[in-house]
Amino acid sequence: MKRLGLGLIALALICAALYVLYLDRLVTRQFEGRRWTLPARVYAAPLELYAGLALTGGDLEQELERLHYRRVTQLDRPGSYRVNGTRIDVALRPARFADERRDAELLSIFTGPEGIESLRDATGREVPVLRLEPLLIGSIFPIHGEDRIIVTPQEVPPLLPAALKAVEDRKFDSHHGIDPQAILRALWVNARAGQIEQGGSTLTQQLVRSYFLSSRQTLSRKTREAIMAIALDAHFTKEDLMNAYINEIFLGQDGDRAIHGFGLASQFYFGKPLAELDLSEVALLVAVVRGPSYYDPRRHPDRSHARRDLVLKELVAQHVVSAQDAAAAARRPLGVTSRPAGAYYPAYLDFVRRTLRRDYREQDLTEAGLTVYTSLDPRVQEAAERALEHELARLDRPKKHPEGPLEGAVVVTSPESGEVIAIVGGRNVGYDGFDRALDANRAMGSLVKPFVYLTALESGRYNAATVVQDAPVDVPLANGRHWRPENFTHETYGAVPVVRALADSLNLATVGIGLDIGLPKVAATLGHFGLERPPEQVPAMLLGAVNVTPLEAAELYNGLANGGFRSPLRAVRAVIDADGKALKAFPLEVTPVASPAAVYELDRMLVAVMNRGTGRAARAYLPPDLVVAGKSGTSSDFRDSWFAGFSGSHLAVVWVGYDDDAPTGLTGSAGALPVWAHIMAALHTRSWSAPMPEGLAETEIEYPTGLRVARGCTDDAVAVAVPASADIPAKPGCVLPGLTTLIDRAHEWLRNLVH
Amino acid sequence: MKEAHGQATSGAYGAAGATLERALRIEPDDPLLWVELGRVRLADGNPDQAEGFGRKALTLAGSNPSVQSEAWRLIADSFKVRGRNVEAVDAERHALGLSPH
Repeated sequence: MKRLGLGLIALALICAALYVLYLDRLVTRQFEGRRWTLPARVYAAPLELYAGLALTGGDLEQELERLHYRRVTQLDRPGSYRVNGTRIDVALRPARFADERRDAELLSIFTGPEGIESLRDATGREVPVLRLEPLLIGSIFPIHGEDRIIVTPQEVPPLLPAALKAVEDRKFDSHHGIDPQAILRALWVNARAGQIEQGGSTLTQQLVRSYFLSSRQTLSRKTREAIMAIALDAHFTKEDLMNAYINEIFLGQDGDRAIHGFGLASQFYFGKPLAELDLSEVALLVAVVRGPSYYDPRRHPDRSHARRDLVLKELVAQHVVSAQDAAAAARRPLGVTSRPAGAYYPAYLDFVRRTLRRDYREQDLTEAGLTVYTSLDPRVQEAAERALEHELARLDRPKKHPEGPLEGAVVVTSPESGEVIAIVGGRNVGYDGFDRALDANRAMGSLVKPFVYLTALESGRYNAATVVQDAPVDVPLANGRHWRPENFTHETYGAVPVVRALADSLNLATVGIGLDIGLPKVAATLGHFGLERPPEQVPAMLLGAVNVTPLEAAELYNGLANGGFRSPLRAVRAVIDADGKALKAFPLEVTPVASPAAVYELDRMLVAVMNRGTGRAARAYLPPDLVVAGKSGTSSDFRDSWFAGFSGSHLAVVWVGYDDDAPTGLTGSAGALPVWAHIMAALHTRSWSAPMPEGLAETEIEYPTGLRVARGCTDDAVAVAVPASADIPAKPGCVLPGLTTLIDRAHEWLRNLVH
Repeated sequence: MKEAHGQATSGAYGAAGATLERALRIEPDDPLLWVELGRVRLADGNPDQAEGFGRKALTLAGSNPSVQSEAWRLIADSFKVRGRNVEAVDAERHALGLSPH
C-alpha cells in the first residue's frame, strides 16, 4: 500500500515537474518573441523650412505645437522653442528621415510679413533648407490590434523604473518572481477594505499576465502565472525584465488599437517622447497601470488625478523624489492632449497599408519594425477634413435622408510629383471604416468631359474657339432603344464655341463632339491618363457613365494639372528597416501621355470654367488673383456631386453623395464645389501658371459666339489659347481695339518715349 | 543640386534621386532640376523615364534656348541608349536649335 502511495506521489511530482518545464518553455518563448515584434511606424512628410516659404511666425508656432514642442522662455532641452518678436529659436529633437539621421541641434528662424526670411544655425551661419522632424501618424499593427513604440533602456527616464518599483513592486530587485509577503499583505488589505485595493502581483507577474491575456483570475491561473513568473526571473536579468515590462504593459485603448508600453503611452497621452516627460506626467502613467480604463485621464480625469497624486505621495514616502518636487508636480494639471496624439488619419493610413501590402507580407509589415515615410501633409489634411465636415453639415441640414447622412470624400495631390498629400474617407474623419476615397465607385458624370475635349483638341480638328452645335441628339442603341440626352437646364443653345460648351458643361454639345471623335479614342485618352478598368464604350460614357473612385479621379486629373504627364499617385516615399537600412523607395515617375499644347489649351478652358462657367461660385472664397482651373461633375439624377480642380501647387478632388446612391439633388457646383473652395482657400497655394507651349497663341473670343475680338472691344470676351495657325472668324466691327485699350496703349507709348 | 551630383557620381543613384526629388518638391518649376533627375534616371539604366523627365523639362523651359537645349540633349541621349538613332539625331538637332528634318 505504501509503495503504491509513494509511486503515485512520484508520478504526481514528475507530472508537476513536466508541467513546470512546459510553462517555463512557454513563457520564455513569449518573452523572446515579444522582444522582436515591432509594428511598422508611419510618418507624415517633414515640413521643409527655407527662406521664402510662406509660413508666418504664427503658422510656424502651430507646426511646432503639432510636434508637441514646448514653448519656453529659455531653451533647455530638445523639444522646446522660444519666441522673440519675429525670431523663433528651436531646440530641435534628433530626427530620422528616409535618407538622413540628424542629431539634436539649434535653429533660429527669422520671419517677416511674407513668411520665412532666413534660417540660421547655432553658429549664426545661414542654413538654406532644413526640415522639421516628421510627425508620427500611426502604425501598422497586427490585426489583433496591439500597438507599441519600443524604447531602449537609454530612452527610459530613470524615474520610471524607480516609480514602478515604488508603487507596484517594492521588492522587485530582490524577489524571485513572486513576492509572498506582498500577496499576503494584499489579501489582508483587500479583506479589510472589502474591495481590491492592492494588487499583490509583482511586475514579473503582471508581465506574464500581459502575455497571456486572461480576464478570469482563477486560482489555477494565478498558480500558473506564479510559476511562469519564477521561471522568467530565473532566466532573465532584472534589467531585461524591467525593460520588457516597460514596453509591454497595457496602458490604454484607442478605438480598436490597444496601447502597449510606456513609449507609445507617452505619445498617446502627451504627444511627446518618453524621455521628455516630467515628474507629474510619469506619475500619471504609473497611476494608469493599475486600471487604464478606470483611470483613463480623458474619460475619468478626477479619478486619474487623485491616483496620480497618490503615486506622488508614495514616491515621496519611499524617497524616490523630494517632497517639494512632488508637491510641485501635484499642482500641475494632468496635461494630457485632448485628442489622442500621434494624430490619427485612418483613410490615409489605409492607402499606405494597401500600397505596402502589395510588396510586403503581413508579418513583415506588422512585426519587423519598419519605418514608413509618406507624403501626407498634416496642414492640408486638416484643411480638407474641416472643409468636408463643415460643408456636409451645412448641406445636410435641410434634407434628412432616412437611409443615412450625406457623405463625401476628398483626395489632395501635388500634381508635379503625383504625391497624395491628404485623403479624407468620409464625414466622420476619425472613423476607421469604409474609406470612400479609395473604395466608393461612383459615376463620374460631367467630370469626364475634359477628357472628351482633350481628345478633340488632340485630333487637330477642334480648338477652344471652334463653333459646335449644342442641339438635340438621338442615338440609336444596340438594344433598339434610343438615347436622347438633355442639358441640365433642358434647353439647347445652338452654335457655341468649344470653350463655352465645356465651361457651361453643355451635354448636347459634348455628345456631338464625342461622337464625332469616336468613343474608342475617348476611352483611350482615359486609359492613358490612368483609368485602369476600360470604360464601357457606350455613348453615355461621354456624359460620365463611367465609375471611378475619388482616388482614380485624382489620378486622371493629376495628368491635366501637370501639363500632360502620367505620374502614378504615391503616398509612400520610402521604407526603412529596423536597422535603418533603406528597403524600398518609390521614385518619381513621369510619362508623357498627351501633347503639351493640347493639355495647355484644355487647362486654359478649365480656367474659364472657374471664371465664367460652372465653377465660378468658388471665386467668392478664393483670393481674387489666384488662378485656378477645374471642372464640376454631376451624374444622372444628381446621385453624385463632384468637383476636381487645381492651382499651381495643389489638385483636390471632392465627391459628395449618399452611400446608397440615392439622388441628392446637388449638382457638382452646389455640393462638392464649396468643399473644394474652402480647402483651396485654406492652403498656401500658388496660381496655375504654366508657360504657353510653342505653336499656340493667346486670343480673345466672344464667349457666346466664339468670334475673335480685339481687347477691350466687348465685355463678354474670354481669353483662350489656340494653335497659332488657327483661323478664327472675327466679329465684325470689333477688330479694332476698344477705346480704353487705345488709351492705355497711348499712355504706354508716351511712357516709353519719356524714358 | 551639388549634393545630388556627389551622390550620383559615387553611384548612389537612389540617394541622388531622393535628394533631387526633395529639391523638386520645393521648386517644381525649375526645368534644370527635372533635367538633372532625368540624368540620374539615365545613369541608373532607365532611359524611358529619362525621356519623360526631358519632356517635362521642356514644358517648363519657356523660350529659354539654353535650357531647352539641355532638355533636348537629355532626350537625345535617352534615344541613343535605346538604339533609336533616328530619333536621337532629331533630338540633337533640336538641341542645337535647328529644326528637325
